[in-house]
Amino acid sequence: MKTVTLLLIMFFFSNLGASDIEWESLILEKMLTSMSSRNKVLIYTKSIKMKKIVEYLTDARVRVTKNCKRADFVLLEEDEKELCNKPEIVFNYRIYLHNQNAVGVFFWQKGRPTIRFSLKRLEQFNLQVRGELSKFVSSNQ
Amino acid sequence: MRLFFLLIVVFSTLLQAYDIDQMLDLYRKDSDLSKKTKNESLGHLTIYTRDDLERMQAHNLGELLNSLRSFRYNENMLGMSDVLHTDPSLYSSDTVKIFINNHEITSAYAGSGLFLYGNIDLGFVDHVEIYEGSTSTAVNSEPAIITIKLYSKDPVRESGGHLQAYGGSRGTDHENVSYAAASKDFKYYLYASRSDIRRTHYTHENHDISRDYKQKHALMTLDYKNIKVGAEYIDHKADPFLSLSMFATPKDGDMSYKLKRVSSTMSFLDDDSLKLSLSFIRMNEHLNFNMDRTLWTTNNLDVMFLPQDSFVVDSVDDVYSAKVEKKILYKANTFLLGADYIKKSLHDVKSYENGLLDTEPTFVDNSIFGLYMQDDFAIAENQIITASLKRNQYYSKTNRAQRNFHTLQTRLGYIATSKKSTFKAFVSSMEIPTEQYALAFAKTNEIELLRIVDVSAEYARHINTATLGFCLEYLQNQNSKILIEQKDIPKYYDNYSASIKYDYDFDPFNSLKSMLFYNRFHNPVNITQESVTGGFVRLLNTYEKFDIYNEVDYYKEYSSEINGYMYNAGVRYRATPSLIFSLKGVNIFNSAATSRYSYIKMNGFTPEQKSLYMSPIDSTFSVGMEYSF
Repeated sequence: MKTVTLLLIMFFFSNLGASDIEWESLILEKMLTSMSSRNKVLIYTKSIKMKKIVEYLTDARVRVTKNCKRADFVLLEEDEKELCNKPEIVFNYRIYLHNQNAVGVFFWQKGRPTIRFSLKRLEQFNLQVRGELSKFVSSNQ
Repeated sequence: MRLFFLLIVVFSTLLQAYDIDQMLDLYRKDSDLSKKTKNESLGHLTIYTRDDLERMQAHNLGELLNSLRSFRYNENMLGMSDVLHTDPSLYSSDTVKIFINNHEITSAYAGSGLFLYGNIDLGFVDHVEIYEGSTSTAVNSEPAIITIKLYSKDPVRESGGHLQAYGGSRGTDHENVSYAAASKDFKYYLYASRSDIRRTHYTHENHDISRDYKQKHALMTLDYKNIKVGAEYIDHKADPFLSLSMFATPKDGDMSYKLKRVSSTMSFLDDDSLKLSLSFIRMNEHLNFNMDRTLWTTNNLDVMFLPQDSFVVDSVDDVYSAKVEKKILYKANTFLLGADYIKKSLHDVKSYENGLLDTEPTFVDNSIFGLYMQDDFAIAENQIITASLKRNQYYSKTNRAQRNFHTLQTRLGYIATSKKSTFKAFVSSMEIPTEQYALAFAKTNEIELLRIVDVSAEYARHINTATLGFCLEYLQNQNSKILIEQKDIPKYYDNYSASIKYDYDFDPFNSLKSMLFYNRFHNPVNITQESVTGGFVRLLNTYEKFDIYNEVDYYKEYSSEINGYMYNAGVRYRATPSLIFSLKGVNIFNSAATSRYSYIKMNGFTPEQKSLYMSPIDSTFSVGMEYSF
């Protein structure tokens, strides 16, 4: 099955190719769904780039809301002042370090894309990372 | 639109088969920065991505220059990188231009920075683009038939520190350290390396022939909003290899180059369509050669009876450049309009021959004003016609030939791309002034401009996960600079090149690349048509935490004994995401094709021409490690 899937993937790559934004949306989706077992995950963002990434999300459970207070997660690209006090996923390690609501970060480090979750902040929002992404949970930050 | 979303869903579903580590790795490979910098309209392109460089464990640029159609890595009689080396010419690669982060590295004396950068350490490099054939007039300040572009690592992606060290055969060792950080407006990347490269030594007539070198290298890039600044320092000390010895009998000597470079690029307007680039390069050169006889000794009595020759030169080589370029989009046209100014200055030259100060040493003070324009006209959705034109006006104050004159470059191209195929064709005509080192050998002031006509076409067909490609090139040289040294040879000479390539991706982590080429060229030294065949096969594989590299390069010249194959292999073990161990062998069986270096052997009172054959690629094994923090 895996061989067939690989061939299909290669066929897909050769005919379409994957853009950065497609990869970013897939990995973001993995992060979001790993933190929630609910049937619906509401996300909120003001960032233009994040809104484009969100357009490529394919998991029906993940939906976008225009109301920050209704959101389960907020996506932040840069320093933005959010008042709704929701768990945040950020895309910059510097923001992750300083923003106490940032439960997860997806960023480049040492030439590689990296994921990190903060155990302390996950607990603060009563969240838990399940499945294969749990290895990215760090108790240091 | 429905198809678009369907494809996204299919794509997403298929990728669920991968675990998160593989997905991150696929993302890293797919978002390689070369996709943002490459420009298919510039010529026939070969890219070494970050992933390629890491898995091939490419330590030096020279290792990447052996699997190309029109040249191979080669060195001149001083051990300098000279990929178009033609024995017995001193240097042949002035039409090979090299760039770092889109800033051209050049020199007043040699016309190209390749002699110093051709085997530069690659620790700071993210990816490499090599354009074979003529490139757009908007790229090079002066014409080129090969353009090599290095791009340093991106501070946003590097964030953090990195250490790398390796040691190898004959006591070679190299260490580098880098650090990068980025905030919203401010980003920087710092790199420093130290190399002690021990090459294979040869013995000729009881003289040791060595091209060992030591190099210290530092590089910095700094981005602040729309301003990018780069600075670089290289301290290169080398043994003189054959130096300028007529008998291939060099004695104690040394060469050193100290390079300092600062450059900046500023972009203006909302769409960054206006760019200003500034650059300054200073190279302090010191050559100290001792030998039985210098190459240029012609008097037989001198050859027989003069005592040992020595040649010592100190000089300062400065290059200032400024370039302003505006991109204009108008209907189906993308216009590039630009102007550049380059001042090349070789000064403070102190030259001693056999201890006697040369009272009229070579100096150079050239100013070049260039105006260029390019139009990429989209005749259909996936087809463009590219046309470019450049006029350079030279104001020369050198004490050698060629005063004030102008040169013209023209280029016309057609590019068609589709999901299944790519076709490119280019026709260009270039006029090139003879470089100063060549003029120094001139017997006449009536030196004409070198003219090159280049016609090339390339077709690549993508069949599922395979790519099959063909490339043909015809290149005509008129007034080759070799004419300066020789008489009674044709004014024109023709070169033909044909290649076929086949690439196959077994899956995203396992790939094969291969190429075969045939070149037929006129050798201006022997006044004969000569043929070369060559090729390579490269396999890059990943098995769990191991990256495995295998490559065979083959090269054969039909008119000489130069032929051989080179087998390289390497294994990288990713112990953790931050710690990597590596083992690599280059030219493992010491069977790579050699290069020829002519010398004179006296048979009584009669000089006879002989040749030494030495490989520009040493057989080397190395063990290394990398640590990120």
